[in-house]
Amino acid sequence: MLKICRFGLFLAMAVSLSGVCAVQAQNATPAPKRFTIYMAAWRGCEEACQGFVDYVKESGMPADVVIRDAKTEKTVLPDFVREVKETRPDLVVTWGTTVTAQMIGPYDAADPSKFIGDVPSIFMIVADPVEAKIAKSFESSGRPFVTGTRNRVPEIIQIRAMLEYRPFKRFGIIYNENELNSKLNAEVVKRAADELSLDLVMLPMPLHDGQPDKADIPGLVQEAADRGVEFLYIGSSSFISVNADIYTKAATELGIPVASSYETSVTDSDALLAIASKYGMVGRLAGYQAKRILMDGIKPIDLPIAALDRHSYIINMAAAAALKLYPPMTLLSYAEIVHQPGKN
Amino acid sequence: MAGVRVRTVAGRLAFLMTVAIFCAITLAVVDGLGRRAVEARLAQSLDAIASAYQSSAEASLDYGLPVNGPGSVESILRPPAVLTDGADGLSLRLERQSAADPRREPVSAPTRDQSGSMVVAERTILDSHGEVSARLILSRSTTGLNEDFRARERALAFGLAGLVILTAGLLLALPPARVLLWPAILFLPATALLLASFGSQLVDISRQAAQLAVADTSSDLARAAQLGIPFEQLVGMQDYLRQQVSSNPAIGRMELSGPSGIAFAAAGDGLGSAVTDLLVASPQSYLLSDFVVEQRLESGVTLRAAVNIQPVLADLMMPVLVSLVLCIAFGAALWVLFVDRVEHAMKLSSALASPALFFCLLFLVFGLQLGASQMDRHWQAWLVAASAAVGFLIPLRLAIPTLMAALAIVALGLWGDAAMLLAGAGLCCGLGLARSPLVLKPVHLAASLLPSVGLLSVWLFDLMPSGPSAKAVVVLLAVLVVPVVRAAGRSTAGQAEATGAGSFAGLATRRAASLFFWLCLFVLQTSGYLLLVIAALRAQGGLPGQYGQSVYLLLCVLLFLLGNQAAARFAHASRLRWILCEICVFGVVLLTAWSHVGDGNLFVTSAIAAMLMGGIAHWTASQSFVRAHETMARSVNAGVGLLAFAVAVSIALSLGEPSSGALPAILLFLAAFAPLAFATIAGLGAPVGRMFSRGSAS
Repeated sequence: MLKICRFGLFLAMAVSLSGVCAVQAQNATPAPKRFTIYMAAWRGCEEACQGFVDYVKESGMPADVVIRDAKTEKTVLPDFVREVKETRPDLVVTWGTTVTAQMIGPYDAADPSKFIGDVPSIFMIVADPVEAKIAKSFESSGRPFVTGTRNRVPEIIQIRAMLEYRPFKRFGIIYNENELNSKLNAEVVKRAADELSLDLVMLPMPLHDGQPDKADIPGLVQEAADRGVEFLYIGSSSFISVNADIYTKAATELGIPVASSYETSVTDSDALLAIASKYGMVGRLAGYQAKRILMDGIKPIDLPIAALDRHSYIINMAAAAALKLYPPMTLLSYAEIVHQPGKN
Repeated sequence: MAGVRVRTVAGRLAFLMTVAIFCAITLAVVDGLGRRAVEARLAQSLDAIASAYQSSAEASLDYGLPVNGPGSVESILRPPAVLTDGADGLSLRLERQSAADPRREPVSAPTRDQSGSMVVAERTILDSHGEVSARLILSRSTTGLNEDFRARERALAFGLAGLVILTAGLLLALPPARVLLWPAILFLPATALLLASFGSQLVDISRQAAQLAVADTSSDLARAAQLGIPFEQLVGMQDYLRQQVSSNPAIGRMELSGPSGIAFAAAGDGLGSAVTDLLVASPQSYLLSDFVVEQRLESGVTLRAAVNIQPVLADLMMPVLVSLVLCIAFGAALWVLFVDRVEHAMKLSSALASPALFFCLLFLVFGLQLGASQMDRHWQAWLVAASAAVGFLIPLRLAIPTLMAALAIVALGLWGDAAMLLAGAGLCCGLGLARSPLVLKPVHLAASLLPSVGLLSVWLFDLMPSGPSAKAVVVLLAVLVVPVVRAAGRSTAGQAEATGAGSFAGLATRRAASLFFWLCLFVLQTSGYLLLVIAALRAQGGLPGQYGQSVYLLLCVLLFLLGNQAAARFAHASRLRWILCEICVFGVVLLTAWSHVGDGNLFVTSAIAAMLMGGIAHWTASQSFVRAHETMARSVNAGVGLLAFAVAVSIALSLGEPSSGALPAILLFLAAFAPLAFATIAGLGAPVGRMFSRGSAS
C-alpha cells in the first residue's frame, strides 16, 4: 500500500513538474507583436480605406487599424498629428493629398515639427505626390519614413485607351492655369499627343481675378467643337473634376465624347470613359506596402511609390447611347460598364 | 527475281514471322507516336484554355468580385454545361489564396492526376499589384480518351492477326516473290486508318477548345444585347472576330450572321484556314460536322466556328513521317532478306554492315546522340567522311592491320572522346565498303538504314539511354565488318574486281577522263543532299519532338533511294531516260527554289525533290562516259553517294544559318550537271525516230 502511495506521489510530482515545464516553455515563447496602424481618412472609410483594412485582415498581419475620419475638415488634421506623436503607432496611413500634405508635409517643409516626423507612413490617393512635394520621385520618396502609392494612370495609356474606343486625329483639353497640377498635366498630355501624332487643342480656363469660373466651361466646350475636336479629355484638375457635370453635359449636347482621368466623371457625371485605378485596389496596394514595412522590415525609403499593374476601363453606357457611340466589341469583354440600361 | 529463301516451308515461315514482326513494330511505333501526339495536344489545349481563364479571372477580380460563392469569379467562369458533362468533361475550380497561406507554386505544365483519369492545368491568379490571390485549377477528364486508346489497341491486335493470317494464306496460293507486295498493300490502309483515328481524337480536342471560344464569343454578344446595342450597330465586329480567331488557335474560321442577314466573318492565316474554308464550303460539309461548332443566340444571331485543321495536320506529321520511314525501310529489308540473290545470311549482314554503320554515324552526328566530344558537330561529320574515304583507299594488303587499328580506336572511343569512336568506326566503314562482296543497290542502302531507324525508334520512346545504346550499335556494326575485310584479304585482287568491288584509285588509273565526270557526279549529289539536309534543319520549327529533323532526313534519304531504284526501270531507253533526267533537274531546281526563296511548303517540296534527285543520281551515273565497268560503276556510285551525303551533312552543320546554303547549293547542282549534260548531248547522235528505242547507244 505504501509502495502504491509512493508511486502515486511520484507520479503526481512528475505530472506537476512537466506541467510547470510546459507553462515555462509557453512563457518563454514571446507572443507575436501586434502592430498598430493609424489610418487618417478624409471622408470616412470609403473604398480605398476599406481595401486597406480588408488586406490587413486577409493577409494575417498581426495589426490593429485605428481609423480617424477628418470628415473633410482640415481643422482636425493638427489634432491627428498630435495624437500620432503621443501614441506613436507603428505605421500611419494617410488618405488624399490634403491629409497627406497636412500630416506628412512636403519634403522641404520649413518647420518639420508640424508633421508626424519619424513615424513610418504610407500615403494613398494622392494624385501627384511628386508635384505635391510629398515624394522626390516615383522610384523612392527620398524620405526615410515615407512611402506610398499612386493611382493616376499615365496619360499615354489613357490616350491609347481613347483611341481604342474610337480612332481620332484631334482632341482637346480644358485645363485650369490657376492649378499648377493642371497646368503641368496639360503639358504631359501635349507630349503624349505628339508621341502618338495627334493634334491637341489646349483650352485654358479664363481667370477672373485670378480664379476660374465654372460658367465659362460650356463656352470652352463650344470652342473645342468649333475647332473640330473629336474627343475631350479631362486631365488632372480639381476645378474641372468638381465641375464635371457641367463639362460633360455640355460636351454630350454637342456630340463630343469625354474621357476622364477621374473615375467619378464617369460614375457620377456624363463622361463616356475613364481609365482608372480602382480605389479598393489602391487600398489593397497600400496594405501590401504596409506588410513590406511591418512584416518584411523594409525601410520606407527603400520602397518605390507603388502603382497597380492593371487598370480598369470604365464605360458610361448611358453616355454612349446618348452619343450613339457604342463601345467596340473588343472592349466589351473586359470593360466595366456603368449606367447600364435598366439598372441604376 | 525469284525469291530464293521463300521457296522452302521454313523460308516461308521465316518470311511470315518477319512480316508479322515488322508490321507489329511499325503499328506499335505509329500508335505510340500518335498517342503521344494526342496527349501533347490535350496538354497544349488545356494550357491555352487555362491561360484564357487566367486573364478573365484576373479581370473579374479587378471588378471586386469574390473568388468563390454566389456571383463569384468561379461561378462566372464555369464552362458551359455541354462541356462539363461526359467522358471528356472540363471542370474549373478557384482556390482563394491569401498572403498568409503557405506559398505553393502551381505546376508549370498540365499533368495527369494520380489515377490517370484527369489532366490538370494550374494557374496563379494575381491581384492588380502582383500578389497571388487565388489558384485556378482546370481539369479535364481523360476517361473517353483512355477508352479510345484501349479500343484502338484491341483493333490493332485484331488487325495484325488478320494481316498475318491473310499473308499466310497468300503464301500458300501465290508465288513467293509476288507475296512480298501484299503485306505492303494491306498494311498501308491499316496505317492510314490508324492515323485517321488519331486525327479524329485530335479534332475532338480542338473542337472542345473551339466550343469554349464560341461560348465566350456568344457571352460577349449577349452582353452587348443586354446593354441595348442592336446587332446592326455593333462596332468593330471584324476586329473582334479576328482577335477571337487569332487568340484561339483551335479555331480556323468564325462567322456570325444576324437575323437581318448582316454577316461578319474572320479566318486565321495559313494553310490550315484555307483547308478549313474549303472543307466548310464544300457541298459535303455535312460529313464534316465534327469540324464545325454552331450556336444560335436568343437574339437570332447564329455563330459558327470551324475547327482549325492545321494543328491537327501538324500533330499527325511525325507519325506519318515515321510510318513512311518504317514502311520503306522494312520493305527494303524484306526484299533484301527474301528476294535478293544472296544466299548466305552472314554474307549479307556483313555486306550491309558497312553502309549501315556509315548511316548510323552520320545520323548520330546529325541529330541523335553518341556521347560527349570536344569536337563540333560539323567537324565530327567531316571526320566520318575523311576516315571512311581513307578506309576506302587503303590497299588490300594493309586492310587487316588497318582494321585492327580501327577497332582499337573504337574501343578507346567507348570511354574517351566520342570523336575517336567516329574516326575508328568511319575507318571500318571505308574498309568494308571497298571490299563489299555485294554490289550495293539502292534497296541494300535502304535496308542498311534499319539500325538508324531502330535507334531512332528506341529513343523516341525513351526505351534505352541514348549514349550506351548508340555505342552498342556502333560497336556491333563495326564487328560485323570484320568478316568482309578478312574474306577480301584472303581473295586475290582479280577476284575482288570480278565481284564488282572497286576503288577510286583503280578507276582513276584506268580512265583518267572519267574521274572528272565522277567528280561532277560527286558535286551533284553533294549539293542535292545538302539541299535535303538544309530542309531538315530548317524544318526544325515545324517538326515536333527532339528527333523530328532526323526522322525527316531519314525519310528524304529513303525517298532518294526510292527514286534511284525507280529510275532503273528506264534502263534501256537512253533518250527518254535523258529527257526525264533533264526534266527532273529542272524539277529539283524549281521545287527547292520555290521552298527556300518562295513560299512553297518545305516538307513537301523537299520530299519530292529527294525522289527526283535519286533518279538523277542513277541516270547520270549510268552514262557510258562515266562507267568504266557496269558493276564497278554501281559500286563506285554507291560509295560516291555515301561520301556525298557525309560531306553534305558536314557542310550543312557548319552553316550558321542553314538557309544561307540553299542558293549556293542550287547553283552548284546546276553547275555540276552542266558538263554531264554537255557530254550526253554530244554523245547522242541517234535519229529522232529511234529516240525511245530500247538499247539505243548512249
